[in-house]
Amino acid sequence: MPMKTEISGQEFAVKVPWAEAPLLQVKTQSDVFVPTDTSLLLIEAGRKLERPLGKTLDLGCGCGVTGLALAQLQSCALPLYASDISAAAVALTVENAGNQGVACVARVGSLFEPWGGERFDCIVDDVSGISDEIARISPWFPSGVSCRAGRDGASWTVSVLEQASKYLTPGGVLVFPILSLSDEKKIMKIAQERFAEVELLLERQWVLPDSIASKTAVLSELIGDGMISCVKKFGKIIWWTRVFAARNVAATE
Amino acid sequence: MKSVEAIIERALGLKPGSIKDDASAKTVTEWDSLGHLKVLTELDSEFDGKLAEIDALAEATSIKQIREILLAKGVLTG
Repeated sequence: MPMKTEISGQEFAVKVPWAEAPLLQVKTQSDVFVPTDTSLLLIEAGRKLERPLGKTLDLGCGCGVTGLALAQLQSCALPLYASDISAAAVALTVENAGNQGVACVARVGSLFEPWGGERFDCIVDDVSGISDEIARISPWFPSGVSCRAGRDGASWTVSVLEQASKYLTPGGVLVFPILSLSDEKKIMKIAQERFAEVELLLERQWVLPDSIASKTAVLSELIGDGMISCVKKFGKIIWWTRVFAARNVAATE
Repeated sequence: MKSVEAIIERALGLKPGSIKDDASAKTVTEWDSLGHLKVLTELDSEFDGKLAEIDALAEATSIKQIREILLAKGVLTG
C-alpha cells in the first residue's frame, strides 16, 4: 500500500512500495480534498490491472495524486486526463502535474460533464462515497469541501456507474471503490446491472476515527437503516473499502 | 500453527525472520495504525476468529503484549 507523508500543511509525499516508482510529491490546499487512504488504495488497485491501462481519466481528481501516481508507475498513457467539480482542485492538479513533468488535460465539471465525446480505456473513480452524516462528523471533509453523496453515501458512485459505459472504450475498465460507510448493497446492485464483469481487486479494513466512533447514536441509526456497515472487533469499530474493476465488455452505443 | 512473529511478518509484508520477539510498533516502521489492524486481522484469521472479541488487543502494540494477552485468554498455550 502506498504511504503518505505530510511534508507541511500544504504538501505531502506519496511513496509507493514498488521499486520502479519514485517518490511522488504533491501539493494540496485547504479548499481541496486531501487524499485519504482510499486514494492510495486506488493507486494500488490500478497497479493490479493488466498494464498498460491506456488512455486514463482520474475522475474526482482532487489534487491529482491518483492519476499522477499511475502516470509515474507508467501504468497509463499520457496525457493523463483529470477532472473535478472543484476549480481549485483542477488548478492544483495542473500545477502538480507540471511539477512532476506529467502531461495532463484537466477540466472542471461534475462527473462526466467535461468529457462529452471522449472515451477512455480506464476511468479511476475517486468521487465522494460516504454518507453525508458520516462526512459531517469525519475529519476528512474540511469546510469548503463538499461530500453531498446523500444519506446512503451512494449518489455520486451510482451516477458514475450509470454513465461510465458511455465514456469507456469497448473492453475499457472502470476502477471504483465501495466504502462500507455507504450503502454497499445498493452500489453493488447497480454495478452488476450495468457491467457484465465486476471483479474485486482488493479490500482493506480501517479503524473508524474516534470523532466518528464516539457518535454512537448517529452510527446506530445509519447501520440500522442499512445506510452503512461497520463491525466491532478488537475493541474498535472497523469499516472497510473494497476496490472493484468493472469491465465494459460489450461495445456500447 | 505459525509463531506470532511469523504471523506479524506476513501481516506487515516483511521477510520471514526479519523481526525478533522484542519487536513493537516503535521498532517496526510498517507497524503503524493501519499495520496494527493488519496484524490483528491476520492473527484473528490464524486463530479461527477467536480474537475479535478481545478488546485489549487494540492497545497491544508489541509482540510481548500480544503474546501475554493470547496466553491469558487461553488462545496460546505456554
